Amino acid sequence: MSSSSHADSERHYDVVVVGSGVVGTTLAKVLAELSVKSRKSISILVLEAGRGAGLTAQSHQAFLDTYYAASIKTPNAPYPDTPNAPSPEDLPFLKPPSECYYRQEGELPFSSNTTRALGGTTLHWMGIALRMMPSDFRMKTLYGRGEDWPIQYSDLKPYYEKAEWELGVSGSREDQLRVPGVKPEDFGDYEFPMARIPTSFLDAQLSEAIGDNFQHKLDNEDHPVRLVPLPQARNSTPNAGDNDPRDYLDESRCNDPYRPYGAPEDPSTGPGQRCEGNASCIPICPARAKYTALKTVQQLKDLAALPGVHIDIVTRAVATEVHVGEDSRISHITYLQYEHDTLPYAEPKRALGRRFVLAASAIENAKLLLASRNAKLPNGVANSSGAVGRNLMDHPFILAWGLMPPERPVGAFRGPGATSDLPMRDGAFRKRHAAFRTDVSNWGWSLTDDAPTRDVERLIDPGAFAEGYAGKPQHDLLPAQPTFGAELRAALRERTRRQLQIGFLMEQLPDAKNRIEVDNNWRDQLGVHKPVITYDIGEYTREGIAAAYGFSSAFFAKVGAKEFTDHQAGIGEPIAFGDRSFKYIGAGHIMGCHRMGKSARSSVVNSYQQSWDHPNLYVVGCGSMPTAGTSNPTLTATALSIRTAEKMFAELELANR
Amino acid sequence: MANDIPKSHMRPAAHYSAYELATPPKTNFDGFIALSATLTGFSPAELAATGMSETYYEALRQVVGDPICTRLFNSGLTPAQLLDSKGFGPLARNIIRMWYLGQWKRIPSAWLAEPEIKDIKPERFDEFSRNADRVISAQAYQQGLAWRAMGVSPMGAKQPGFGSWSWAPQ
Repeated sequence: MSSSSHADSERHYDVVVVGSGVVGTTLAKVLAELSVKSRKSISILVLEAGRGAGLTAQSHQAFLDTYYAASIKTPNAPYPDTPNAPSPEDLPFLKPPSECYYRQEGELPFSSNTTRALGGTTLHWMGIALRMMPSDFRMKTLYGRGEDWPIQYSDLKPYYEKAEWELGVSGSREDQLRVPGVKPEDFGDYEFPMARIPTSFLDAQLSEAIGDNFQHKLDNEDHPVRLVPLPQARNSTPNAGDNDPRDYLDESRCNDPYRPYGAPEDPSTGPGQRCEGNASCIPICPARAKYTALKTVQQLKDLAALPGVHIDIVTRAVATEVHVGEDSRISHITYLQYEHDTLPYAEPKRALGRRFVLAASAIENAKLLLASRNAKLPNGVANSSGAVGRNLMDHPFILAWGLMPPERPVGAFRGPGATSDLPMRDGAFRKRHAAFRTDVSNWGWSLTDDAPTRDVERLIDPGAFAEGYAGKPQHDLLPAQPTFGAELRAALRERTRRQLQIGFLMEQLPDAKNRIEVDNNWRDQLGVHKPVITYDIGEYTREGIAAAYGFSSAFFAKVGAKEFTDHQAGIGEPIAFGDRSFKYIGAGHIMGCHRMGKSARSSVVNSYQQSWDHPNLYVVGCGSMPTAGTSNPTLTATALSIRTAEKMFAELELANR
Repeated sequence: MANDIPKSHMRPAAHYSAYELATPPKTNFDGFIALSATLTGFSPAELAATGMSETYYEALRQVVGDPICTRLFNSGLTPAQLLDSKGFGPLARNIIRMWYLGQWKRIPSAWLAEPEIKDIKPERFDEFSRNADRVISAQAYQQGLAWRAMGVSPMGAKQPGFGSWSWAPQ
């Protein structure tokens, strides 16, 4: 019926959602779709702490121009930040620790970030949309490590399908069956909404070099080495099938055959544009072929025009406290609404509702619950287990890089960030060390060595590098004299087209010591708590890193690449295993902090992400994941969120419209 | 940024067809283009086609001033000698950086004492944060000739086309 940019403070919304990222908006969308389908009335409020931009063509162009002109092209570089809801951008060379968002208390720094803005971190995500392995849900049973989930892959399978249609995933069932450990029944006769994104010339070169029978030993057992195309939430060519799995859609709203979403502001101009290969999924897809939650925000606005649907999406609204009534149900959430993006002024407001959903990211959800502590609940809301904030996980990301031989240029800097990976995601070796999947980058050394900027610098000013490169393979990259003119042009071309960079996304086990806390002395300018983080990476993952490097040496040799990996010079934070030293960077896959489980004693939410302590509170997203597996977690979080929405809707008892 | 350029430095389009890469150059702007072509390996026409010529010339002269520009463009040194020179090297490298990457790298104050230029004091050397590590503009990034040299589109701009990444590199 309507949508507005301010909440109605007297209204008892059916559902209040904190966070406008993919998880919160998809949950709201499924609720609204079910209301339309069953002819009920529903009112939903979505609160977003950050600013709202990017829905119009002009605003999207402003993001792009900011990115082009940014000296340091970080994942959050294009997007509007505000000190009233700061996004973590804690690069040590940009600001001192006292000005950072995270306060780091652990052995190692936690370096994954989020985007606090309308659409959330999907604004800058890569768009890899992998399902978890069936075994990932049963780590304790199968390998004696981590935890078992309260649900299995088979429970989540129908929701993975729905999530793939919500995000618009381009992929191939046949490709997925080539992942070692995946069985045909894991995908059945399912078809992705769009055909696989074309794989890169690099992929083809590596596939040819690897051949069909390349094996590598992990914990003394052979593991097949296969290059497998990745399913990705970016537009390719729609499949012709008539099989939209989203049974919550009214018949008139099914997307059969699949019609891709494009520019959010005007879906009426035609189907969404296909991936143009702009090589900048992170931080921004110029063609808007990549899914971002702005596409779901736009669909919420469209839904709000239908009879019986009321949706308010309010930006610049920072949730500060979850209030518990006498009956242990949540009565309301208070938030601070600011009008000005730099001045520290905000108006306290409250959101009333029947159901409350925290969908603000693992860290923000935990922070909000812990900050809601009071005399009656000294450990915070929803925290009778003591598990809120604990078991923070990421996929520590570790890079290796080299140059392909001159006669085998691969043509880096073209296409999506990765179109294939080398999965080593399951096997008996997981009893001993972490699983990992090896991303094969289509973007040369841009992440690890600031290519092509540093390539130009080495060629025009070799003297500036000579000392640091003494005794290293990098020394071969320096010309005897500064290069210019035609020679510079040719040398730059010759070396960049051979650049190969791979990266290991490492499984990390849950560990109660890795946690988020709040401290009254650590707040932003509105007085809202900032996270205090204790983080470390355990031996299981460290041994996995060493194993991944064992594989990387074999891989570089197999494909004929000369390795240039340099863990002193590369980006990231140092980490050791035995006498070996590596560097890791955050993958941005922030998981744990409000784990789901079978028991109220040891987990924060049940498998529907419903608080054990407060039945009308749902804490949703990657934070609910008991273990991390090796899949980029967005697809799993989206699937969980759709499952939660269906359950919530069944219990809402909405009025007929 | 076009708005920063005084009108007197805007040249009519006809001027571009009249380049003479002669030594000595008729004007400092001509000298800038001639030296840029030599250093980058791109022809004056290719440089002009980026639309960035005036912007980069202004970026240079606003930091170091006209007298040093004149001396640089009339040095009589070979490109290799220029790049080796303590006084002219940082300027030559910044000319390459601007054309290739759209970037300027800060020239340290110690440079002011280098023998080639120490008798001239650039009046606006540290004014307006122009002499700072920076991307000149959003347009400068997109027009970076490094990408042209590499045979690819700038990351995030100039759409290469669906599936183009499957083909062998140019």
